[in-house]
Amino acid sequence: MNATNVVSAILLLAGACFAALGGLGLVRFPDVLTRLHAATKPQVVGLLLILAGVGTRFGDATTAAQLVLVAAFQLITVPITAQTVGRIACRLGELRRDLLLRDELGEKTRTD
Amino acid sequence: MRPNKTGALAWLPELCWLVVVWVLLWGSVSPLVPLTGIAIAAAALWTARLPRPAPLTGRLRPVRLLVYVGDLVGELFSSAVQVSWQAIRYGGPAGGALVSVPIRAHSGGLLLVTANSVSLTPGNVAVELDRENGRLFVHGFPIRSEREVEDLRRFVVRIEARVIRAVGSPQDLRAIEQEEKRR
Repeated sequence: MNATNVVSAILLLAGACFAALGGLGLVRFPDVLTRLHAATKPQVVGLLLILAGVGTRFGDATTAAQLVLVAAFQLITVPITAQTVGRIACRLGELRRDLLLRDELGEKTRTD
Repeated sequence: MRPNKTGALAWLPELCWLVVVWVLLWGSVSPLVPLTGIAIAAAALWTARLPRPAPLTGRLRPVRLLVYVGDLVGELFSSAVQVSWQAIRYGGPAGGALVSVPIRAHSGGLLLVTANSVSLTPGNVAVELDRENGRLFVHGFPIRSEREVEDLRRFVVRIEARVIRAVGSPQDLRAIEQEEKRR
């Protein structure tokens, strides 16, 4: 057990925890929009931590560059997926309006 | 506005990006890899026949870009903690709100970066964009009071200002600076 291994283990475990919590959120949150929050943030952070853990374990530049590439594509694509799903949910009315404290999108659609 | 570059040269940034990705995927810089990369990237761009992408305005401010990335990473982590906490919290999650936020960014690329950053920061997912009226619709979560609705609106405006500072056009930058002076 050296220091690199410990750091890598901590990062991997932390990442797995975030991924698990994201999954828990998916199950527990009430509608599409709230579930999107669970599907984006803890999931991305979980993956970033796991990539960091893998990177520390390997410790060479080529692997690191490839991991950075994975991270970059996650950060670019995950919000776009979330936006697309959210937008479709809103357009189809697949959301719990009763859970919304304020609904300015609904107001806009009604006035259009 | 800069005059639009025409012809194949306009695709140079995309070509470079694809070659970089290719080289990284192979994980080697032996001469064959970049060469095949260039060939494949050119073929991919040629067959895809994409519309000319929305330019980001062509000005990068490196220091502010670093500030922007740093803030974004920090906020991504705090938002992951927040959402995770909502998932564990006993009694189920609180409600949310769909809030419309006026946006000032004009170019499509800038809007994309803004919307993406919004979706990665605490409590927000951008869900709809109304370009005609310059409004971004953001779902905030958790939102418990009217005050939090206003906080969310201000927060999104701040993120947009940060994006404009990092990569915005001089006009957009002037616009937000004047607005901040008035405040």
